Amino acid sequence: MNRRTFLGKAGLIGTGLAALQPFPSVLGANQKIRLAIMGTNGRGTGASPASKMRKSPSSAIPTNAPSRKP
Amino acid sequence: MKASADIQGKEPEGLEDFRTILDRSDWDALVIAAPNHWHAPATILGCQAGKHVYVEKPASQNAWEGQLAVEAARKYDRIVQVGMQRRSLDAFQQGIQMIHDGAIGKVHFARAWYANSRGGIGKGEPADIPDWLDYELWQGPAPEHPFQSNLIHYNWHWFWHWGNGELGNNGIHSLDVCRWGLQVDCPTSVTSTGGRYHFDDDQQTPDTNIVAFDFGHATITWEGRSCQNHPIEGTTFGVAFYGTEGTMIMDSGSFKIMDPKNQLVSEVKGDGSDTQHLQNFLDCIRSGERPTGDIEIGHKSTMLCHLGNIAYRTGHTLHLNPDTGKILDDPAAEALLRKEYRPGWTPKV
Repeated sequence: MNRRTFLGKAGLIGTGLAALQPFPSVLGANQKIRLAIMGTNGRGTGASPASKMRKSPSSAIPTNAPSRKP
Repeated sequence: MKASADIQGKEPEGLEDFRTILDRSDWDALVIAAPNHWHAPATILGCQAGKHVYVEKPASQNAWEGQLAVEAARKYDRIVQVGMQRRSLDAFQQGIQMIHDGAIGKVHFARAWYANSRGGIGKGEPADIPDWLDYELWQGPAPEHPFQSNLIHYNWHWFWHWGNGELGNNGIHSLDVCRWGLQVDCPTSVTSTGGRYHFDDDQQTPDTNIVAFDFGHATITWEGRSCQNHPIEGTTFGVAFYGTEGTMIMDSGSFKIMDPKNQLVSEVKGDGSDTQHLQNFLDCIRSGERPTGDIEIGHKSTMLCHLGNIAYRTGHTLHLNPDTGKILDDPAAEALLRKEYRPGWTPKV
């Protein structure tokens, strides 16, 4: 299942538009950067220091399996 | 989740599938810390969705998708940082600049190494998929493979189906530093020797491995010992540059210089934290500048891992045209530059 199929099944729309829309190249100096972290079992926790840096991004941790030690 | 909540003072939003954020404009960047077979495909999906990407090393699981990841970053004008943290460390930037400025003369040989004391992974058996695991999504772009007991969470590194062995796991870090110091891109030849010697188990990738890259005027070697951790130069991870007027030894975050009589003449200490590299990523999102570990740099360094693994798997010495990066007269080796994908999952830019 590719991304388009997945999103179709999920009932979301607008997937084709994403590739056509111009994206902003840079963010403002004071604009919050929102990070999504993709990883399982704590992989990606190395990125957590980012959330205490001076730019204070917020973060989400989308995982394809719950974090759990083997 | 808890660690992030503790730091930022609010609970992060947890999702089971990262693709649900791709069409959400409230997310700016994607950090990819999934297994290797996800690195390039997720990078490409992220760029196409307008996200800046921090992808852990290696930049790809094979050469073909790695090149696509570079193309995606450029086509969609996204910041893509590869997790080769030493590119952003003050001590490493200083040390490499000193090499470029001639501090140890002309350098014709760089040596990289990694040593650990990993155990065996045993013989896997068919097993029920744990109820906490979405194995379908975990496999993602990798061809369907039955679940087995000794795969998740870490041992996938040691199967060619999902991983890149120790060379792609830890060799990438030191090979990147070697390539940076010598200012080289593509070798003219690659040889590899070694094997899975320590344990009779399912591991396909070598636990003992020597890879040599010839660049015409200089050579890089990588020594990997996954199951024998005796250090070299006092460190289990390191890089040495041997120059006509001295030697530089680098460990995880520090370096020292010896003169031709092997007397210490300079030493700079630092740590190997990820923080500077992540900060550089965030700074570049704001400035639009290329990050220190830009995807093109990461792809070139990752290519050394791919070539080393291809030389190991074929048992061939690879010969390359360094201007084009093409492997010469070796169809078996060329075939390993890419892989098959699960139907519907082949990356496209």
